[in-house]
Amino acid sequence: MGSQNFDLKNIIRKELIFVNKNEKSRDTLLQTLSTRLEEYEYVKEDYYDAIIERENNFPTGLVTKSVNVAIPHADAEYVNKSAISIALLADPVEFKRMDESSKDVGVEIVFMLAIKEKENQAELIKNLISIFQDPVLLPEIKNSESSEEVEEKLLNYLKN
Amino acid sequence: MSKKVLVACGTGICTSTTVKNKLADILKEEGHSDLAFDQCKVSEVASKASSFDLVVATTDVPGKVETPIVKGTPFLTGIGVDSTVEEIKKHLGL
Repeated sequence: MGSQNFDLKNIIRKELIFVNKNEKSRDTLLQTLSTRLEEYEYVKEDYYDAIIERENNFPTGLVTKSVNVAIPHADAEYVNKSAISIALLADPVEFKRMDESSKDVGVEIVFMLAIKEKENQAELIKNLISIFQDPVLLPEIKNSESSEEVEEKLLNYLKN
Repeated sequence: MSKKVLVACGTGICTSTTVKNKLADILKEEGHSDLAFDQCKVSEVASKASSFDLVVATTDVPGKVETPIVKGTPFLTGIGVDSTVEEIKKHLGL
């Protein structure tokens, strides 16, 4: 994996992970994740607005081979410290697709990215993408029953 | 003269870096290393595209663009990578 410039344990933590989340709409879901990040002081007050604006202009829904995901994120200027907030959805929530913004995708896992240092972004996204493409890990994460379980699975995977 | 590829995403940093690196690695493995890559925000593509041979974008591209555009999302999702690489190679004459 190469040298890590930042501590993964601070980026992925159970306090920022929601399991079996029931949210009917994309925006309330994004609000929940943003609020959690704000509570823990990872992001600024206007981060949520930036997330919504970005999602409306450049949606982040992705169709994978196993579990559909979304990677909402906003510019580093709205971030205090890097972190990822994750929600495992009880029922799919519709996002627009990144590659075809007029089309919908039912997303089952949302990874909200708050990234402060641009240099670390590439490595982190590369790691996430290998998770998205792993036909075993992603469904395993989806079926996790607790935030601790998700945290553990991700940290184990990313450490190797 | 080496071919030039412009990789774009919404913010110009996140997914475009990953896609650029993945694509460069794949092409290098096939022996095509004489390529130049640049990154930008998707909103900048219309103004920059004319100096490139190909645009690879992870989102829809606004504006009128003459340069061929190929969707880069397969490098994120793993779906359709082979056909996308073939399309890219075709545009670059590789």
